[in-house]
Amino acid sequence: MACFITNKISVSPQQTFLSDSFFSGSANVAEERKLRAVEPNYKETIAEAGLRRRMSRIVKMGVSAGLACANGADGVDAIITATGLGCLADTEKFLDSVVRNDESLLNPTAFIQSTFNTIGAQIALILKNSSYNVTYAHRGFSFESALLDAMLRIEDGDARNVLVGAMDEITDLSFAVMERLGFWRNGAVMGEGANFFLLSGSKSSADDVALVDVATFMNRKEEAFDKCVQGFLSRNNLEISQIDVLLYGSSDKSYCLGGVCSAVSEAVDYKKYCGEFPTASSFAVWLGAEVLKRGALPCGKTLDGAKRVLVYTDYQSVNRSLILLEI
Amino acid sequence: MGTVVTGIGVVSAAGLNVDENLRSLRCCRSGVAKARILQTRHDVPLGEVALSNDELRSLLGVPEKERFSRASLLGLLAAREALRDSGVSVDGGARVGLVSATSAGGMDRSEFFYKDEVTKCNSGRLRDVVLHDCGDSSETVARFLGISDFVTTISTACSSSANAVILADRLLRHNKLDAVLVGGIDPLCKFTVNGFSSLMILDRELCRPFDQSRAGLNLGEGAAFLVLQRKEDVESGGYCRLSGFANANDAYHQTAISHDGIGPFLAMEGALKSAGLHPSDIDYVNVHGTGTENNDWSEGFAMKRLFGDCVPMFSSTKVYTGHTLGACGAIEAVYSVLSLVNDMVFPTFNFKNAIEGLELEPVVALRENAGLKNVMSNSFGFGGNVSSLIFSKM
Amino acid sequence: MENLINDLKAQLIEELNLEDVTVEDIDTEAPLFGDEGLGLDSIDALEIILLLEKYYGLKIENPKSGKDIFFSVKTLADYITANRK
Repeated sequence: MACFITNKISVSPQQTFLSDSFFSGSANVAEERKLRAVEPNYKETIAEAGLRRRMSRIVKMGVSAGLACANGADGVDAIITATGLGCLADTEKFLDSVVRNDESLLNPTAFIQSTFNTIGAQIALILKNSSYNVTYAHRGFSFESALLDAMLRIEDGDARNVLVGAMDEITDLSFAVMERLGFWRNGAVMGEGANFFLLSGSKSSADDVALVDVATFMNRKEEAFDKCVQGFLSRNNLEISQIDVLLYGSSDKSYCLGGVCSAVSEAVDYKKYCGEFPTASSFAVWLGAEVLKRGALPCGKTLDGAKRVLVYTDYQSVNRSLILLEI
Repeated sequence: MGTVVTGIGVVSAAGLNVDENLRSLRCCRSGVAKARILQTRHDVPLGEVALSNDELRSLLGVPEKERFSRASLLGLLAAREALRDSGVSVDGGARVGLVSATSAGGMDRSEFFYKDEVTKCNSGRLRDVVLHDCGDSSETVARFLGISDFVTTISTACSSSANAVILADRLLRHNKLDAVLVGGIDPLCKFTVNGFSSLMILDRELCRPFDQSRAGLNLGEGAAFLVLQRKEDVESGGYCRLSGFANANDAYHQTAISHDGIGPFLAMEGALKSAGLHPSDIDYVNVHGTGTENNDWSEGFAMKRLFGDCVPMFSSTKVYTGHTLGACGAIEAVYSVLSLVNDMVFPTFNFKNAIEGLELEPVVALRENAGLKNVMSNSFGFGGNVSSLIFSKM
Repeated sequence: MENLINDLKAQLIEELNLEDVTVEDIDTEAPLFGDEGLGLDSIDALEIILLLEKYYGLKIENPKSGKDIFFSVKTLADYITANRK
């Protein structure tokens, strides 16, 4: 059973936060192999200074996106967040004091804020929301797991509206480590962002995009993954030809996803807009929903009657996922 | 609900497997002691698993070339025990998934990495830092046991693995999987010891849950896993049913639970509702009971509100293991299963005086033939994340 | 004393990230915690304990014992003056 994206908010390296500029203007490009988020004015998004003062960048990005997304919702019955690496800056800050000060003069705030559920917890605190609240932290499956949980909750009737979001941040250390690990070979750039969605069991307006299906696949070689793609399409009663737009985020540009690449009218490498990070697929869902709603691609190219977007994400060739959107 | 527990596995300071843990619980033997494995300046007792990484590795038969974090080693030990116990085969037709949970993940290796990275000019070993994230131990456990149908990880601080159980049940009910290996893992590391030390809530003696004199928690480490299956798929046996659960948010403060325990109340009440039970049906509560001033007050307050004058038997088993953070929900779920199956309540043996204003006394001596039908297990965490599980006799 | 009080205020602003607050805004005698004054909480108390150790070499082992010491900037300054070696 599908659910509907009744609101969505993106803080990304592009002009996406409460702005149309990304679809009308040109795209921001990476500097020094990093695509840094265009951050909101936090004094506006999190008005109370007392709330902001302990928040690191990822927390501010996530809370800003989450609050904006929940704004105007007819109740939020669950808050589900996802992050691959969590609050890295606070983690590094605390680790730094453990190492440099030899386990003395420790800053409790950095430790408290370093937990993976900080953003979901802060949103609950600010909204005074006592409903189901959980955080997924599993590499390239973090956001997909959150979506799956949200969809099942809606299907079970345990929630009408679920706030789902994902975030990761760039830090100098994480960039340097990944550089040493060879992540940025093949032209990949590091990205970051916070993307939130309000998912509902019913539409709030006629052009709401449906989140139809999400699936994760561990350790599948490409040949085996071709079969997974076929299985995913057939369980949704679809032929390859019924997919209009493919948003792919993969380091392997030669892989054709069981023929989907050649069959679709448009295939877009979404990570050129948001960069590489464990929850990048959350940006792709935002982008896919926006593309279907506008009937246009970010470059301005219009799409006639595009009905379906397939999001394909490959994280380190270990975590692959498929997400199907429909209007 | 039609979900049953068909396998259990646990490693903690109280023992390396289910039998050893049960023996410690029955004999009131705490595993909390002076640190022997973790190198730390802080002179506080810890609930360490008795084996070093090398010893764990050889116990598991992990090849030399494999570099595993302590999280993965602990996780594997408990997960393998649970899977074997259930008899579920990953090679058969059944779709088997892994839902794990952790708060520190591979932080023990990251600490080594970071030290060299910052003090010795970017010379941190990459093979250490790649184990840092929460997903690493889950994928390592899954790979080692041959599980590939579904893998994910939850991280909601100290309620992490209780939340994993909640997701696992949903995946079974929706027929996404046929069996779920679900649990939690947390290794002791400098990061968490220093973190809780900076919060000034580490007791320098054995923790005293629900005692007026309580002065904080003891950190511990470990892992526990349960195998959950749909009742109709299980021909015979199974330990007990997972009959109810709920997750709520206290929405009060980033680290403290509200004075009147509104979140804990909502989680316990919600769990009862989902199980279709009344408060009087609960025979025993394995409380979160960390021994901090804040937790025990709020949890006790919430229990009084829910159960009124008839608060059931309760105890905190953290006196045996220390507070194992992301693993405690799963460890205490396994202990709850052991309580039900053996019909006994494991005592908070060092309790002396009730908290003034609450007047709640945990079970202080082993209670056998306790007549348990429904057991509740509470897990609360930073960020107001609170969850309750209920296990019931078949 | 005047210098110590101003130093303390600046250190509080820095360590507690009191955005938009200046040294002049902090009333020396006003309560630091609770709804009046700066509205600090239990995490700030821990940060102030750290501040005392970092800048003044003073250790407070039990956060509860800090309650009177942490009442205001004035009481903090008095404590530092009395205990600084």
